[in-house]
Amino acid sequence: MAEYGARWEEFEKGIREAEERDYQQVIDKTIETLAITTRATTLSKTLSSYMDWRDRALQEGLQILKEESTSITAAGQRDKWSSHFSKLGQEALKTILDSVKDYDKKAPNLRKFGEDVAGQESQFFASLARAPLAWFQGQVQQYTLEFYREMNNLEGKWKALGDQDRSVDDKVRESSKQILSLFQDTVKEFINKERGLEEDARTLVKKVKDAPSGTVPSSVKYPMQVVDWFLERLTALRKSTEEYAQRFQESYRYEDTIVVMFAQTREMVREFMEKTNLETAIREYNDSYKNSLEMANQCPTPRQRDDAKKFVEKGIYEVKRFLDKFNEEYKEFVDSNRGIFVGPVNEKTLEELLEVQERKRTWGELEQFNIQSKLRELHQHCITMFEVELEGLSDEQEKELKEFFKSEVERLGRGIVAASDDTVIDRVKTFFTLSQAALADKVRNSKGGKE
Amino acid sequence: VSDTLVKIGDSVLSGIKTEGMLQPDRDYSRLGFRVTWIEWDSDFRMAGLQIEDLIIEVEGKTLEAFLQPGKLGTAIGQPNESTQWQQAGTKPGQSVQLKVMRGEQTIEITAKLHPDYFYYDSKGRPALGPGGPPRLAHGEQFTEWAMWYERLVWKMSYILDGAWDWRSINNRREMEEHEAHKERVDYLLKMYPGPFADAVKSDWVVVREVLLGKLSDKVDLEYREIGAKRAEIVKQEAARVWTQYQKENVSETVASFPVDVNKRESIVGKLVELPWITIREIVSDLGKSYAVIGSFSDGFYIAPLSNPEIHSFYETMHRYKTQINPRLGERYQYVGRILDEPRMIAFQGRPITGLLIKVVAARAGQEELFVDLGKPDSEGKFEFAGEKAVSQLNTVAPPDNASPAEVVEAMIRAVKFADEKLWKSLFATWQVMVLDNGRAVYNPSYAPSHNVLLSAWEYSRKYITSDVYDARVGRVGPVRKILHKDESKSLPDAEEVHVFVDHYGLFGNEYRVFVNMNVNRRWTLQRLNNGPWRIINVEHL
Repeated sequence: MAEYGARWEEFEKGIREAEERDYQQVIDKTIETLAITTRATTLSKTLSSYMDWRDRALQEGLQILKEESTSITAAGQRDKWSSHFSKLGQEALKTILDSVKDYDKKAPNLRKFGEDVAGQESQFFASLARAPLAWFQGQVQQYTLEFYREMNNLEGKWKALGDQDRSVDDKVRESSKQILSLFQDTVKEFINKERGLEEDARTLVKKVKDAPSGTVPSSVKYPMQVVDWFLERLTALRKSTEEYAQRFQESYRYEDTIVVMFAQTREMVREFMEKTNLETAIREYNDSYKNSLEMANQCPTPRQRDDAKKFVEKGIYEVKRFLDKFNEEYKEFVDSNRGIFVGPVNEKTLEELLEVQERKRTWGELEQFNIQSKLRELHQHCITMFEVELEGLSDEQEKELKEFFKSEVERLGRGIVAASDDTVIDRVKTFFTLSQAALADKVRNSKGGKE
Repeated sequence: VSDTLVKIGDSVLSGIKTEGMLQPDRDYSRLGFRVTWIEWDSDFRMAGLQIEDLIIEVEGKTLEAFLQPGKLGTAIGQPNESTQWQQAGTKPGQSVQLKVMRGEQTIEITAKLHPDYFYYDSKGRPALGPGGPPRLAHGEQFTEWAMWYERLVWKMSYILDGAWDWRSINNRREMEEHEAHKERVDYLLKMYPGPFADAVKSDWVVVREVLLGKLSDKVDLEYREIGAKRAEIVKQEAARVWTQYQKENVSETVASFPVDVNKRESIVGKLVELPWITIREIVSDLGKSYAVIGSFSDGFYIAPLSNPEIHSFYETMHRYKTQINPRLGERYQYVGRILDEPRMIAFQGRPITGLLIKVVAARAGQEELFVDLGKPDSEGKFEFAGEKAVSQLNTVAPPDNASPAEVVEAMIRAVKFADEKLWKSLFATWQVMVLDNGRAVYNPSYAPSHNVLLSAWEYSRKYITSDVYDARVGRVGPVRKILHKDESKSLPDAEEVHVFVDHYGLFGNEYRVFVNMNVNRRWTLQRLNNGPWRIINVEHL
């Protein structure tokens, strides 16, 4: 018994009725009746064999729905399916027409029935050829492959972004260490040198006291070497700070590029998943099922429709396996990218990308050290270093020396003010605070898959 | 005519030869007897009967009784027609009226029947006409007149009875064979002048005219030279416009490489002329296509290809391929405006970082296609360089209500101008088969295979660029309804028509219609439920 055997009932009934009509046209009963019976029996056998062939042909059709390969495409599967069933329709038509072509004289009604069956079977296969089962089977395999590939690609992209970011981070980390160390070393050196100011001041007082004329020798009022030393160091400090500020700015630009690429990749994932997603696949699956049943319903006879529907049910069962695979792949894609490229960016991703906490800590250290206030303190302290004992000097000498000390303090003060320039330090601060916050906002505000 | 030259027999004859049409065939809408020859001495010649006329009534009576297997032989024009005339009491010299169909027209023709004539020559030998030539001649330049004439008539009947449209003939070969009879026909006229010789000469000339094929003063040869000429014009124009484009944009064009996404400020907004790429540099990433131009050492530019400009470029390129060169190589060169957008995509299995560009101009193939994507026309489309310089070709698809002739004309034009896609679209993906018993079977499973289509296409292109200089619709047969709609059986209405195509070849210095095994003259078109006409037989042109 054929698996798709509902049609047989119509064949049997049709042969019987056509045979009956042919009998009614018989003139010479003895000869013609036998001829009609023979032809009816032959047609019955032919159609019985045809039913077996049709069953096998439909099974072969199901094989198309079982094919699995990375090279499969929706269009390819659709063409293969449609070509398979078109060919079967052609073959069915020819087989059945050939079997009744000589029936005209003896059994015209049997021939007519055979011709009707041939046309109907051609339509049966044509309807199945239009069923979009294979198209969807190919389509969902394409989706699965795309998601698998993109999952690997995104893993690579995330790693590459991480690598690029790490090299920027390394530079920032190094620069941060260096600038802190520069500040610390400079301040330490300055503190060590502070005593030198006092000593030099005393030395000058002594030189004035020892001066024979009761005046202040002009050699005393030469710019103090120790102040020069401070100024040189302060200039160096300022230059280095400036360089570090530039390095941080450059790092920001690099990080901004990384963030832009990250945000754009998220946008691309969003667009990709907007077009292709599990809901789309399920909708297409349902449409494919519904349309295939509609195609089955377009078969000319009720029993053909029964066979075609049964076949569609079997077909959709095969196709469902591919939808399930896609479902798994899709979930894996979503899970592995959640918080990175899919859904809102999570804190872990943000941390990996921008090292928010580390930057905060680094800036905390720099801020805590506070080079500007340290320099200001130094300045205040340096002023006290010039407050040396002037006993033994004439009023004139005292006045003149105080003025000289004052000018030296002012010279040192200008150097300190220049070195602790707010704008440069602010640039460093901006890098560690505002710029980082802006980057973090960019990351957080970017839209990823399924958003 | 002297009694010694002609004797009268007992038979009653029409002097015409017919073939019984038991099934609908050719383009006849009725069954009947098709005239295949009219004897030289038949009164029907003078009465205007023609070969291929379909006799449907004789003396007001239909011929259904004769149109049965085994009943044909006594019908008009059949070997035993005399029996029928005699049984009906019809006498020689009596007029009979025929109703015939000529195409879709019905015509009435009246002519006299005649007795069986036996001709003799002056020597009393049985002859083909009064006075000769003798049926069997001896010692003359030409002998065996009866056999020769019988063969000649058979062949002339074969040719005149729709051989061009309904049989496989090679008219030029037939022509050579036909010319070989000329000497004998001239001899006949000279040696045996008279009505027989005149009729033979006249028939010979008619057949010669038919075999020569229609003459055309002018054939549409534009498509032949047009290919090479148009390609050359467009190539030159592409080179000229490209040079001009480079000159106009030199101030804002920057060197393409090296490129660093982190040092892009100075080049953002500038133009860059990128090196040529092939399809290997075109990748898909997250469902979108990109061209990746560059290297790991020098950096990359990334051109998004899934955007409207590039779609327009592809449309233009398709037009170029259709009209100019279908074999345009898959090489591309882009000019892009550099965007302030670093992008990371997967290329050859690795993520690469590059700068996005907006393609503003593109070249393709061997530098023969240039499209400035910054200059759309009034409809927002882009022309390829030189498009205006070559005349527009209309390989547009015919509308759904196009006539059968228009569909075939579109098919011919698609072949001429190498529009394979259009050509394919004109073939049916169904077939209504008319069986030998006249019944039609709807076969929706029918679909021409890729290989059959490909082969037909290649041969069509081969012939249109070699032996076939032009092809035109010669005539269109009547539309026949071959299947009636039956919704209970899911059967559509179906109509069928034959369209006959004249293929012009070059013979000497003349363009004439020809037919042979290499060209397909008859095209069958069908349509379902008044839908568009489509070609059923997948053949080469």
